[in-house]
Amino acid sequence: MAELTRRRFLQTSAGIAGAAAGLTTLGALRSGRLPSGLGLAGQPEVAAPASVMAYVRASSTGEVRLMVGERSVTVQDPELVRRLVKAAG
Amino acid sequence: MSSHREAPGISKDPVADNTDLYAFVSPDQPGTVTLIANWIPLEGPDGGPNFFEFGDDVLYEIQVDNDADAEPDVTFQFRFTTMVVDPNTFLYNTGPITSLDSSTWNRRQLYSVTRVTDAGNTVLGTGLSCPPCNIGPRSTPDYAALAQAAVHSLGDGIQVFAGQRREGFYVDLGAVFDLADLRPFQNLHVIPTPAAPGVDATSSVNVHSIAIQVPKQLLCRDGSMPGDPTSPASTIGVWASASRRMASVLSSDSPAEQTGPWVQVSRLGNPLINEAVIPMGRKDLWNSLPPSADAQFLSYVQHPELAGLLPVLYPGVFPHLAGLTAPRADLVAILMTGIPAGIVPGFQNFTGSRIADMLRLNMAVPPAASPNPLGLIGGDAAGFPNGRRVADDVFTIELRAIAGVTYPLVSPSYVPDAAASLVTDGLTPGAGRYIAQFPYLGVPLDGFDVPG
Repeated sequence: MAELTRRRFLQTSAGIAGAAAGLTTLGALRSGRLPSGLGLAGQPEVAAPASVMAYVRASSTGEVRLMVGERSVTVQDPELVRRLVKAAG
Repeated sequence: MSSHREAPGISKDPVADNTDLYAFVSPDQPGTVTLIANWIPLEGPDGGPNFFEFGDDVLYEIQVDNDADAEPDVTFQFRFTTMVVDPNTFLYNTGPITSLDSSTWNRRQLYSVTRVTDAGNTVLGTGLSCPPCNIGPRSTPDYAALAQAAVHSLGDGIQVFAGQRREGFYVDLGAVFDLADLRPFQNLHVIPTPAAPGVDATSSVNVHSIAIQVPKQLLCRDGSMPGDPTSPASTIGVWASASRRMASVLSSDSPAEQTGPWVQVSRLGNPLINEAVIPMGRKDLWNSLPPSADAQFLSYVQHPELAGLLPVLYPGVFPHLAGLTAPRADLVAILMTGIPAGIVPGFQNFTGSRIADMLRLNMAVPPAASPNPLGLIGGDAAGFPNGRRVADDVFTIELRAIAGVTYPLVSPSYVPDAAASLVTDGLTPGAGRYIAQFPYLGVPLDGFDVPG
């Protein structure tokens, strides 16, 4: 996270993850993993929640945990992880 | 505080630190059970200007298993909201607090109670007032009345209280954490000093309690009034926990934000388990798990470290204990499964073979007319380890059990060391620790008269 403040990282991550969550049904969030490589296009749109936090524990796994409200879901999405890591510098 | 600061992680988070759990048939309302869970250890009564309070960002729970699977069947959830009347003063109160709606009380807490069962969630109460902390004669001039006003009826015979109380657990902390010293017997310690009376380390501190009194039928698996001590339906298992949200974001330009699911950070069933049985490297893990996951900790109960230490620290005092190498089935029964029928005549609180640290209460055992603080080992089946009453001397009970006094229950040929039935930290609770009615823990000490 060098050269990037934690706040900016979280704001950036939340923005990206929020966009992703906006394309994902809450039902899908509740249900757990998406198949690896499965795009989010084609999912019906829902209103974005107030805030979403994205947590990438190990980018090599291609997994990102999204936390929204009192729920979390682990999404298998290497492309999303790649974009988050890139945004984090 | 039988589980205060007992694990490295939770010792840094006192607002979420479970310290004691009590479950007993209410002596003055024998058709009910009282459950009391305490948090925030070692509160100095004079700890202002920001006196102690529950965490708005913590989920507090008291959980009851009534069908012997170590899973919660009835859960009481408590959530707190802090209100500040005037943010432009540093004062907790700007004059005497004479009632729960005094305008002079600047920082107050309200809470909600929700009952969770398989049938769903039922909000039992919202906007319930906590009392303030007991500050002193100018700020809280009639504290006992103020606190009593914070006992709320929730209907269906349920009443609840949440707020500061006097610490009920008595123990000589300074001695026991100094290489298991017991002052009355320290002349026999491997590093001896003259024997001395015990020192009650918790006599001058307060704690924050959540107490709820519930008709027995609402806890019993079949909704009946437990009347038969031999019936499996009469026994419940109880534990308390605190949870925090998975993620927290701190910011200098907006309030802290928590998000994600609740994650358990503290747990308490029987006293002193995580404190004195679970090893250092696994204490934080233990706090994060439910009782249903406790099988992995069984070996620490079967072979408690303290049982091995006593013969070393008190040379020649525990020769029989030193030779006791078999798994401690007595401790497993007392702490992890409940005591099966046939071990103690006329008594059982067995919940099956599933290993789980729960405080097990046979609700069909009536309150004792003359309670013995040594509970079951003192011949009083209404006391620990049949639940736990506020004045039960759980330190001495567990110390003697670990020292071998209960092993003959499962191995009649074993003869305990003479010292096993004598060891104690030498304390009695003293006056003012308890009251005769709900919430049973005494009026908290005030900070004017009792500096911390």
